Amino acid sequence: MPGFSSLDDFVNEVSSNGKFWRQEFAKQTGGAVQAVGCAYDLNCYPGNPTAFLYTGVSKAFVACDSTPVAVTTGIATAASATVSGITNGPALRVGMMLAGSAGTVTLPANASIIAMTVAATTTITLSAVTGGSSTGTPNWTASFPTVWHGGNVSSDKKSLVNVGAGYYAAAFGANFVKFIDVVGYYPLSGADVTAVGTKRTFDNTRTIPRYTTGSGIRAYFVTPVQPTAGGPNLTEFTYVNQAGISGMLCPVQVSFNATATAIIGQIPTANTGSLKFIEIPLAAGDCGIRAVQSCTFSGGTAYTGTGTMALVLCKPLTTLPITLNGVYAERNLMMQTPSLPRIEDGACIDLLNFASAATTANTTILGHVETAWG
Amino acid sequence: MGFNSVREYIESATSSGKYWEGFWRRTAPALSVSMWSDMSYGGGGPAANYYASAPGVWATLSPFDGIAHGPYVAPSTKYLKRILIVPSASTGVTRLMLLDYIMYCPFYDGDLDSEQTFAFPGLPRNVSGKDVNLMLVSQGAGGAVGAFKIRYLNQNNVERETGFNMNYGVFTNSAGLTLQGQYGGGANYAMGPFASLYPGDGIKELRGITLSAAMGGVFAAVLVHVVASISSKDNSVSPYEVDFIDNLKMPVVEDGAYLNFIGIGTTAASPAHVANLEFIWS
Repeated sequence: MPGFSSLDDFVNEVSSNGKFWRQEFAKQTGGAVQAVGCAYDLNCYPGNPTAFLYTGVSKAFVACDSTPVAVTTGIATAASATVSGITNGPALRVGMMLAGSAGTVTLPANASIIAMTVAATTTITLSAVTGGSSTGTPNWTASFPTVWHGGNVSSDKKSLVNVGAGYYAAAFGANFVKFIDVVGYYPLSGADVTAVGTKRTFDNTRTIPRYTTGSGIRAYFVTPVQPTAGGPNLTEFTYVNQAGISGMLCPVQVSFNATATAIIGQIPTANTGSLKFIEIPLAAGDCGIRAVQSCTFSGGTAYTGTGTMALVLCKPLTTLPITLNGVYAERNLMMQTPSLPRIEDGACIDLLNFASAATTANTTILGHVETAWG
Repeated sequence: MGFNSVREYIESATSSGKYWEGFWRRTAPALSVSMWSDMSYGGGGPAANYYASAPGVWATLSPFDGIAHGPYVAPSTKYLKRILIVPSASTGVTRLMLLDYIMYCPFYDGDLDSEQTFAFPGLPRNVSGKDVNLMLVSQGAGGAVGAFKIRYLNQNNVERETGFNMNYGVFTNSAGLTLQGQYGGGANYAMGPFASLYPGDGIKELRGITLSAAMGGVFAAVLVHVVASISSKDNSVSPYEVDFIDNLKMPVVEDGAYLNFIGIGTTAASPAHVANLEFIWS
């Protein structure tokens, strides 16, 4: 067993040494009824952890790390959108969520870092859902959202031991909740969402921070902000595989859902019908993605409007079936389905949701994860 | 198995990324008490398969149009690790078979009582024919129940021809139902869902199908390999799951396999089911 030499060792580490963490979470299913056969990224919806909208510079890879970074110096110089501050370390990244406030600085809701420029002081530009206020001394932490898993534990190795979830909704069908570690994402906005026939070449200056070979890494699209209309096809998807070989191609065309189906937070390639997949298929012989090089949308109907998308890279951890309305489901990953998935330091645990029937909007999914390390 | 130890399996499946997860959802075709339903024929995810290609021409189905099971993995070997079935409604006791639909020939004519034979291109998988079965799927209802015989080459390259007393088809079945089921009623008892063969035989090449009389309708001949079977426990919405590693024998899934289910129930009911399948390779 990873990290544990025996069951006795596991019991000793957990019981005697306290190397165990249980974290509850509560996420909503979004403001629209979940559609039959569709899949959703619960990261985009309110709850605990908070909503995360995959912001950043279009096509530039954002590496995700849940390790909190403290920002304790600097001066707020603008209202609502931009705060100048001095970082206290190199780990601040575009996309990180901000928590906390100091003085008269009020953070906007869902504030995240959308740009950073290096100068005598480092300017952090906030992405504001609602406006913040000016002046004061920043005193906050920045990190990527995660179902908290106990923090970094190296040189020990952490494993996912138990997961559970359940919810009650007026309209419900059997659901699957998939626990993943989001290692990073490519934001897409503007013409990178709407243009057809144009190859989008991604900026891989930053690399995936965990599972660095790419083994086990999968890719999926999500729409944090719904485009106005349309539903193109993904006709080209080129990536670097787990062996570092570039130019690997998704072997099949994938189609995006039309926006007639409410797709905020939806994985737009998942649905009933043909050419629909939750995870982008891999080329023969491959078992993961180290980086995505490019993709092309063409055919179908081009997206319009000011919606945004993200191409997310993740490491699937485990899948939990929620079969009955109002009945809590639980799965033990040591004795029931022996696997003990590794939770790497900095992991950003997120939830995907596959709906087999229309599910009432704003349904709350309650759940928990339990981890142990040794 | 391609794994020498549980640790090796865990390393492969969880650390090396050699796994894939597929989902399946169906609300049609309706389950039948007596006849197996070809669940690939109904809408949902993956998309419906209607064997809609050139009549009398053998064809294959794309693996990307069936239950997702990951990329081609040769020279590694891929296995089915786990199936979880969740009924969305009480559907009686249901039995589901996961099949690899190797190849098919659509639109056999139910009005012909002479042998229908079409050029056979060779099996793309299970090339020896071992454990390859024949399933006849209605593509349009006919008007009679009756006998048929098949002529085939078995896995030992021996040509066989079944007798009319070995196979009965319910040609009045609606599209999506197999022609052979658990029983045909009256004096004609069919044994389904596959055509009866000589003991120990699999089909390497299907050489002809002959109806004892004109039955009407049209049907597809589908050569399949059974990957796994799973049954519900009771008439409820309780999920049922099989983890094949617990059984110390995981079924092999060939590269290029088109995977889907056929199902039969103890009551005629909506087949509303959703499933989660897990595949790993060494």
